[in-house]
Amino acid sequence: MSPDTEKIIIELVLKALNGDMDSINNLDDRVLRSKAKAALFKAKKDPDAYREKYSKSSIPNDNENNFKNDPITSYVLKGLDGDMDQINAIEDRVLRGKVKAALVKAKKDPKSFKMQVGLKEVKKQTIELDEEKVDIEESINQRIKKLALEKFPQSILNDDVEKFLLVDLKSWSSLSAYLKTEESLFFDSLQCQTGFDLGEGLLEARYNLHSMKHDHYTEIRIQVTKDNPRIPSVEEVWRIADWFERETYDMLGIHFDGHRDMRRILLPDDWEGWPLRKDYDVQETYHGIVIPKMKEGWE
Amino acid sequence: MGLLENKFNDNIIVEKLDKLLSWSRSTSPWFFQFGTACCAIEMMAAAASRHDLMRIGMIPRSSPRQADVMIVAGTVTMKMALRVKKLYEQMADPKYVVAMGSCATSGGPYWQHGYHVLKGVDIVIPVDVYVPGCPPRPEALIEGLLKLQEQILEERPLTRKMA
Repeated sequence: MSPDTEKIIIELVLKALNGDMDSINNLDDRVLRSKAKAALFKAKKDPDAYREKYSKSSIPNDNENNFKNDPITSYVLKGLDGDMDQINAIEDRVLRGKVKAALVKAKKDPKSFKMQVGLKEVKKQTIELDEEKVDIEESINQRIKKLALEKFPQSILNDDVEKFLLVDLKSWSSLSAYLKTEESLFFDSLQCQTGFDLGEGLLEARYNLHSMKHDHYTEIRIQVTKDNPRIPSVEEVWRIADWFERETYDMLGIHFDGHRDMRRILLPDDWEGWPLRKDYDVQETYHGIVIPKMKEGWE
Repeated sequence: MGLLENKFNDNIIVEKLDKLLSWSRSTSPWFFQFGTACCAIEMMAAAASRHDLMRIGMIPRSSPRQADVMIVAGTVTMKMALRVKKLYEQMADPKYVVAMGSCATSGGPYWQHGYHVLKGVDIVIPVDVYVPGCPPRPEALIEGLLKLQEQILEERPLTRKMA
């Protein structure tokens, strides 16, 4: 890492520790951004020590640092002024390549480039001022949980909703319709529906939902016991669930109540057992054809 | 051919009716296009212009009633096994079966753990030629079909079989 990028990262991390994540998120250079994030992750373990270590060596606030948020722009401006040495000295190959590419473009019309950069800077500053007041945005799952619990109490069972929502069996049929029709959620597409055998007598159905309007995703999980594997069907909410649920039924034996055509989809109708369950035992014969359990001697 | 040989002009050949029948059968075994899995692609390639099965007299037919040979091209599942049997029974005699690819000959990659796969199509119907490969190249299939033609050529349909 070159001293320049290191300085930029330190500055960004110090900013982020004070609650300003935007300057990292707004970085155009992906490599630099991920490096800054990694450094931030380390720094967060002991923020005070980090601050003490680096705050003294803070970077002098000269003109060039107006563009510290976007190293490429600052390098290009230097390049336009004839200072190519600094660009050639960049250690990060990706960054160097990008800077050179940007420089070629900028050289075609240096004046308008400088104008653009100037405008960009002004814009960025105003945005920063506005967003300082806004809190960290809540995730889509947290929003769904808040909305769902208002309408259907006790419908979401898990506390940590970072990755998925564990939905209560009883409220699923009404909740599914709500997820599809609620204006701010609008999950109009069921991308996948599948099932799992969790062992210990538990089966799980999973639903991956996507909203084309808002472009957000969520995952719903519903758990049932093996003794009574019945889940309300969402086939009438999302028509695609028709075949998805039939497959889950075929493989795991989860019965979807209210499905209008609950048959096996892949295996023949007279097949016995549910193949994807952990305790599945293959039947001995099928219409007189012997099914060998397992053949020895080949691994 | 004993007595009749060389008794006629040059453009007349004397041969057993038995041999004529098996010869004519062997040179035009129309096959029933029955692709159950990926081997079907190679079967199609074999039938298409580059390899051109028609030059050895094999024309794909879509109905079992018009076909002499059934090429089982691909994995046969338990669900399909019953239908394979039914289609074989619908074919008119004389009928032959070519098991194409590992799956149709032995279950192939599903040999050990595929609970739903028939371990070789010969469990439900008699097979004349096995073509190994996963999938076999069109050349391999053609080789298998030529072998089948040789087999048919050796048949004597009119000779009474000794018990």
